[in-house]
Amino acid sequence: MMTDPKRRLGFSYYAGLWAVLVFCIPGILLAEESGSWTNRAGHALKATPLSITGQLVTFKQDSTGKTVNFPLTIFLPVEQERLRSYLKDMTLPEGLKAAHDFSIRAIKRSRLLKANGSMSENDFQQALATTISAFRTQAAPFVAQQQLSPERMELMALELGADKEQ
Amino acid sequence: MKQFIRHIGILVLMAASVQGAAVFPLPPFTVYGKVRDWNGRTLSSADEATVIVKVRGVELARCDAKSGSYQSLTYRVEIPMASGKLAGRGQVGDPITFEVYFDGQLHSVSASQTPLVVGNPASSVCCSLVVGTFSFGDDLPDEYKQLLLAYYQMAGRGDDLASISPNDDFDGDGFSNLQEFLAGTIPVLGDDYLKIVKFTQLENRYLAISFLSAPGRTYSVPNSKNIHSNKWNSSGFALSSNAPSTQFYTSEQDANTTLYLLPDTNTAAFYRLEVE
Repeated sequence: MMTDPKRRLGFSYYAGLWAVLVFCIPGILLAEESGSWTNRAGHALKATPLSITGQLVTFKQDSTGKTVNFPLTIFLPVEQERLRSYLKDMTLPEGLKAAHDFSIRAIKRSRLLKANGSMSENDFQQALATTISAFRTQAAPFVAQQQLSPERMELMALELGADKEQ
Repeated sequence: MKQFIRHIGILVLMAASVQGAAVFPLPPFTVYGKVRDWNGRTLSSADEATVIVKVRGVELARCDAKSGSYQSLTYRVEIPMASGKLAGRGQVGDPITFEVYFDGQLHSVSASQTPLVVGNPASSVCCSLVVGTFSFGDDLPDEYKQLLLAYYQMAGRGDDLASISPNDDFDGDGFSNLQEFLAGTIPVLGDDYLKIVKFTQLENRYLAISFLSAPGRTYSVPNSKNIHSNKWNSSGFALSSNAPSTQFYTSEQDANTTLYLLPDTNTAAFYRLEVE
């Protein structure tokens, strides 16, 4: 009687497959996530990001184990976003944070004015649209200078318009 | 004898010249006021800001911005004085400049009194400070104008900071950009300006005054028996009908706020809402 090759090692073939999926693939993905960072010149830095202070990122180089610092701005915008996300850093470029905070305040006060009866629903919707449009205008130079990815700008604009208390 | 008198005369002259050159410490000159960030918000203890006072370009005094001082004043420094030039002390008429250490950086400021000079010993002067860059010689910081610029551009009313005047009323609500900066309202929202939204007489004799407050602004509700006299007296109010009475309320956030007044029942009075 032929033994099912999938059961020769005494466990289910599918259980083995799941083990590979569960234990190996996240490791591979994580290695890819933390290991390679492409700068604007197209060169890849193989290192693990340790921290970010202002615009300066500290890495541990994979090859030497040494700690090195690089300005965030030398990396491609998409890589900057990936670095910020990896290091859980949501700091906005200097100048844009103030514009973002002002937009949040304008929308918050509009909501409060609507709540106390000083602003109509139509005026509120108009104020919301104007504020978001102004924020896009304020963020555009940062996108042009590749200090902010277009995707993050759109995400921030969407969040401003979301029907929730900021 | 003549020789002796001549020596005494020389000694007296020497003593007189030493007396003339002596410089005495004098009681300090005090500067106090409030310090705001470039959003117009009054800095408090939580901001960990330090006001640095320089006289003739040399630092002579510093203090931390503190909340909870009298009314809404947040800094008070004493400048040491002397009767003449003495290191570490100022003289009457010396120019005073300020810097504020805040948010990890040293900032330039605009002072409400310019030029400000050291006054008489033991006297004082109130001088409000605004942290920021002031390229246009007006009272609105460049950083604040930068926030309004996109709105000016979208409305076709200017393309640079020079086109934003503190006296403009961009949103047409009757209050200038500078007034809205000080009050903490949004100068590009026509419905947002300092106003009493609701005024209610409660059954327990309290008057309830509701308005939209702004962070770092201090509110008071003075009253007048005769509105034509333009004499306004401070009123006590509470933040709830059973809370202790106060004369000033500093808001920490944007919020719909109600203040409760207990008016005198025998005489009519006018009330107004003030912000600083």
